[in-house]
Amino acid sequence: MSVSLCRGGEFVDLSAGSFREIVMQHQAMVFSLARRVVTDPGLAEEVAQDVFMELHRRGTEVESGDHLKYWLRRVTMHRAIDQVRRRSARPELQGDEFVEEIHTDGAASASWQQLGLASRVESLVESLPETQRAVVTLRYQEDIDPDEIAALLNMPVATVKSHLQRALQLMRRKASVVLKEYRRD
Amino acid sequence: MIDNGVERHEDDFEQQLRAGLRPGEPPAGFADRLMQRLAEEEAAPQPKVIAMPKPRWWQPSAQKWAIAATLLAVASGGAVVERQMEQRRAERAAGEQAREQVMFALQITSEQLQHVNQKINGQQ
Repeated sequence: MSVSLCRGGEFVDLSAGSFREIVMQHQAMVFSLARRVVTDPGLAEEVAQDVFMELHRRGTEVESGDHLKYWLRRVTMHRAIDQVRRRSARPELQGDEFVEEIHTDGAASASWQQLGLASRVESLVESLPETQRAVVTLRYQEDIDPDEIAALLNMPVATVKSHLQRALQLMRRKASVVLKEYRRD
Repeated sequence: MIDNGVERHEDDFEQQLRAGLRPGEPPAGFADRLMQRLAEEEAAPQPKVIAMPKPRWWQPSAQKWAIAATLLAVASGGAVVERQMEQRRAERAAGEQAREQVMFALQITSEQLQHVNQKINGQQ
């Protein structure tokens, strides 16, 4: 691996010793992004490791710290979405199918209110279709604006906004349905 | 929250979403496993590049002769083409010269005929 100079004069050292530091610095972000999209922790680790392996192979293309972060997010999201699509036998759920599914999901609702905020949010996000999961994660976990999400995921900004709106709507509906189930029990 | 320079208000639900979605650490030993995988990949023998087999006659000495013969053929072909072009140029120049001579002769003949014609008309 070599050291490369970015446009703004910032260095990214990808030599063997520093590579471990880069991994330590970004592993939480990469793993969390993968985990939100693929939902399975084992698979998320596999995706995250593959991302860092690719970074190690293509390190000379990284130009700066910001570029590194952008590259990691982009490659992680694409790999995670690909992984979900490869493993999933059924196509991505649409909104209406999703609502029907959550109505039959009453058994889990009793314990839902007892979960902590993080677990409740995780449960809501995991129930979304994978593209919406990716968009919501980038927006609310990474605090990235829709323009940058569009660039990361190779989709128009309007599509990103539509996914966000739809995802919020679905999660709100799911939260209210589960809450009703809980009160009925 | 500021979104593209425009202030946007998040409702409680979105704020809870933001608070609930925090990056989590990977399983313990993640970096060690990754570094081990990298070391294994680097230690693994690289796939051998198998050269395309060449026919026996295609030896270095034969290559030199083939290259020399090709160059000679190209050079001699070029000389032949050049000679033909030179010949055509000479023929064209000779033709042009002959045409000018004929035109000059015709001009003289025309003047003489005109002179004779004037004499005949004068006698009459």
